[in-house]
Amino acid sequence: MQTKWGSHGDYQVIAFAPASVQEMFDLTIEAFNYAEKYRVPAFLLSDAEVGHMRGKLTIPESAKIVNRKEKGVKRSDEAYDVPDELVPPFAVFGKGHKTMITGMTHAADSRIEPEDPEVHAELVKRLNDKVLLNRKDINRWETTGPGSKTMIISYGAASLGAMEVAAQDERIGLLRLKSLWPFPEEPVREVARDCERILVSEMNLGQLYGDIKRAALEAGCKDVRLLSKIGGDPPTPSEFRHELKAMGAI
Amino acid sequence: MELFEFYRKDRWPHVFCPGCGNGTVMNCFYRAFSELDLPLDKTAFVGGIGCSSRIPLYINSDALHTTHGRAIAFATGLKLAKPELKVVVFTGDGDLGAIGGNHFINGCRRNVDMTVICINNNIYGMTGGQASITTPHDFLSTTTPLGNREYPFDLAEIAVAAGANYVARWTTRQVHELTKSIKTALQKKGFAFVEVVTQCPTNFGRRNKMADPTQLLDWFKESMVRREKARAAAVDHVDLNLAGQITVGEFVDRKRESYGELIGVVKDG
Repeated sequence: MQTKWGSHGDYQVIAFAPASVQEMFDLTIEAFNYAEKYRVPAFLLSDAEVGHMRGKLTIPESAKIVNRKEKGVKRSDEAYDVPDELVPPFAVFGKGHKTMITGMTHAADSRIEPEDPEVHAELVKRLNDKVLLNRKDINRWETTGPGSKTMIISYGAASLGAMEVAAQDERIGLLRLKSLWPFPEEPVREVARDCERILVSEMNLGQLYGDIKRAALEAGCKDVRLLSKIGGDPPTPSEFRHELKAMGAI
Repeated sequence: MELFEFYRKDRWPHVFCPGCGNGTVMNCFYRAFSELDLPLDKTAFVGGIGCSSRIPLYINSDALHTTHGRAIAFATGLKLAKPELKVVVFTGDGDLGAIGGNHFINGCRRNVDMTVICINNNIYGMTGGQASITTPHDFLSTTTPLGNREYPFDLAEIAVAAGANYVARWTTRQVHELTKSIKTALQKKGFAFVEVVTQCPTNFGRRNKMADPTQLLDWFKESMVRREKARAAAVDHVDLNLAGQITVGEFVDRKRESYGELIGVVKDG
């Protein structure tokens, strides 16, 4: 599976997909905060469309800042405690913790154990679980026209045309995902439960489509289709309407 | 400082092969560090990937074992975030010069405050003896079974050209000079680079008719030339070993502004 996912082993990432200037600003703060909170890299999926965009930006007086939890110096092995939320506090360098940070398979006390399957399983499961089990805390989305019979699910620049369609046509709703990973299972299922058909729009050949379709079918929506557009231009409102007409939605 | 105050006894035994030069470098470093009486808890050790990059994990202080080639990049971040710490990097020729070559050059150019000990064994030892960027011309390795057609990099000269404040190269034969240079490097502001040409009997010597570590040390002795006596014509000189030489000595000792001074980093510890 390394050939498909780009690296070996299992891991989870946190990724945000802004679709406006304001979101680019707000989600940048969120990305830093989540990286500190869960001690994983957080990705901000900017693209050329958002990068070149001009728009209104409101800069708040102050921003909420999450600092990573830091370990005190109570016991020498305290740095290796794993709390319930699976994110151990950060043992800061220079405070006498004698911390060992390594990318290799290691036990809770940093012993390198590359050939111990149990140590590896425990470590990698925890690293995955700390993101997966905290999914509800991380996911961000915006719903326009909830309860509509037809819902578009999209994100980033691919959702720009859909926003216009959903604003003008009350038969059409839009679930705009602001975070993509960990996969936003709950909002997709909630939308799929109440609607008859879903149009997924992406500016690729359908990279999130498979996951969305799986979640939607499981939640009971039977008609899930893909509007895929590649080449760099976001799908236009008329392209959305054309596809929706073909689905019998309008 | 006692030996096992400095090293983590619970991590013993180490991974190094019998006859490896890493132990010599560790001893020289321990001696230099102890003689300077530096605070261990205010020193952070960084390594990349490779045999030599494992050394930080044996030292009884904060250690950062990074991804391959990125030791200098991680160490730069660490130094900027924690300017009150002394940052020491242990790395090898493959990690520093090949995979992390760009980080190395720019670390020197920025003159980031850190001591970098590069243990150059002329080979990718840990992974089975593939030719590295410092494998001398015509020497054998698993990937150059007919002899290395390429010419090697000269890490120390690159560090000089790129702007490091202190650059020295010794072999594991010259323990006194090496210890002295490590002491100088540890006290230096800016990028201090000490390259140690080291024997790897398992994966370098064995394939080049020098399976006994003492043969490699004899080879160092025969090929060693002090820098001031080395061929003057820089154009001819690519080192290790176009001219069949291992140039040793202090290459440069200067006082360029360090990166911390240039960008105005304030120590808060």
